[in-house]
Amino acid sequence: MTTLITYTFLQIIIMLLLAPLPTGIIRKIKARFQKRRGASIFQPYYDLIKLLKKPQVTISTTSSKVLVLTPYILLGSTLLAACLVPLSTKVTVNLPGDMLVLVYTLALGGFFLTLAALDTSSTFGGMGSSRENTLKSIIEPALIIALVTLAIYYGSTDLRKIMIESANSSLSIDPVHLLLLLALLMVTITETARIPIDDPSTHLELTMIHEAMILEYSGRHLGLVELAAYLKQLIYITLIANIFFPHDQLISFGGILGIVLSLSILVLKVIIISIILGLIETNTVKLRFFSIANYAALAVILSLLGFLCVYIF
Amino acid sequence: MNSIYDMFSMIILLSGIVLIANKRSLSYIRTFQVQSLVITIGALIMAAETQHLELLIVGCLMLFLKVIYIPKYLRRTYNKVTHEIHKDFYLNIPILSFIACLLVVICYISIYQIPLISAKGVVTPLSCNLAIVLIGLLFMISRKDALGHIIGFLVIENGLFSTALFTTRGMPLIVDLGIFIDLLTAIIIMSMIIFQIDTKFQSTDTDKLHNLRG
Repeated sequence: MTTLITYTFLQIIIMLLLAPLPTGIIRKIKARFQKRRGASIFQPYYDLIKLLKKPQVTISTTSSKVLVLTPYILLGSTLLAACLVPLSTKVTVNLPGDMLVLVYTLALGGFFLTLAALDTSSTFGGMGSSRENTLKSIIEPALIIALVTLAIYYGSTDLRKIMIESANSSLSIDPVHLLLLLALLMVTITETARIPIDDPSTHLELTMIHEAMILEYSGRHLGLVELAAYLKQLIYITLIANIFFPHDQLISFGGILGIVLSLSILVLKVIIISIILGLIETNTVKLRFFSIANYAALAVILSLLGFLCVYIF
Repeated sequence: MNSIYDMFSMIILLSGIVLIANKRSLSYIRTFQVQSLVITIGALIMAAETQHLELLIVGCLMLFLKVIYIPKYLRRTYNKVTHEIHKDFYLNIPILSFIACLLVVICYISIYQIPLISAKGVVTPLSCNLAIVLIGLLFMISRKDALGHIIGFLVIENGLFSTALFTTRGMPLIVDLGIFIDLLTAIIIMSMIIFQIDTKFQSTDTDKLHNLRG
């Protein structure tokens, strides 16, 4: 029991420290492609620290407690989800929960965020939460089919078992993996509000989705909401890195050294996937809102084909 | 070694699905180009593996013709055609991609019925590549744009070529050469017809060919 608590504590710290890094890298890549020098890749950390230092001001007199409580619920549920992602198979602690718990714990935070956006009854908040829910509901089939396919393919919904099985299977490329990887990449882009779906760097009223929801927040609460968004992004990236590109079979020795090596390779993989996300972001344009259905349909088809692959090919 | 060809078949199938989900004429051409490139790489890898000179020649011809020349020619045609059409498909994209998915299942089921094939372990390449032929047909009938019809035709040809390549290690050289020459002629003639349609009807929309002229 104490090892579980220690491990969970350590994992939370690692995830929190790593969380703003992908965003920093993506911004840097984007700046480089636009022939700018760009801010340092640690800029999100500085922003976050600055925001968390500031006091909270709630000007609205009509809003309820939901507005104030949501940042804490959001961060809490995201942290819980962050505990459920296995970082390395070298760690022998069995984490409670499985992939379905992970997905719906993340969804809980999202639900409260949409409630908070509605709570202030500003026009943008309502618009943002309406769009966010539309997106979530059209992309969710792709996510769930992809995860269930993985569960069927590897015989368990436990993420750690999936990781171990994936590491043990041969290194040759697998059609199922390819299809599910693409589907999950598309889901990740949608869920983390990146460019083909939503532009995180604009506050242009007509196109923003995630930004519209958090428009009412400032100071420390904004910092918490942003941190939760970074964590969510990191969770998806870690999931992709650990399931589709397992690396633990390469490390022969166990113990503390094995864990440290395995975690540093994980950080490297997170950086590489962030760079890939940045490249995707610079090479695509934002889709019209009504074209997102086509994008989601493509994601669903990919995971459906992966599902069919498991059964028929 | 077989799994590499399974993988190539799957990427080709994927490019077919992406093709169905594409909206603009220029992205059709690009997707076709990528698909041809994947088939070419597959052919060259197979040539290196089996040491067949014929496959090498066919691969080089593919590279020159389908990856470089035909897409360039089609892009030129597209730039010269002045009238664009806006909504150029009959059904919307999600429905079309679900139909494409259904076609893959139909292909698989019909191929699985044949006893000898299902025993030999070529089910994945065969069903994926035959699905590409059907997806090309679906693409042809779902688009109104005359350029889309040409791409559909080319994708059908790609599907036939990759079916032969990944299941039986390619057709004889003479057959492939004949097909390539036919293809080149067909593309040139069809592009000329597109110009004719565009100048006569002020649009490349094939639906408008029913309209009376004069």
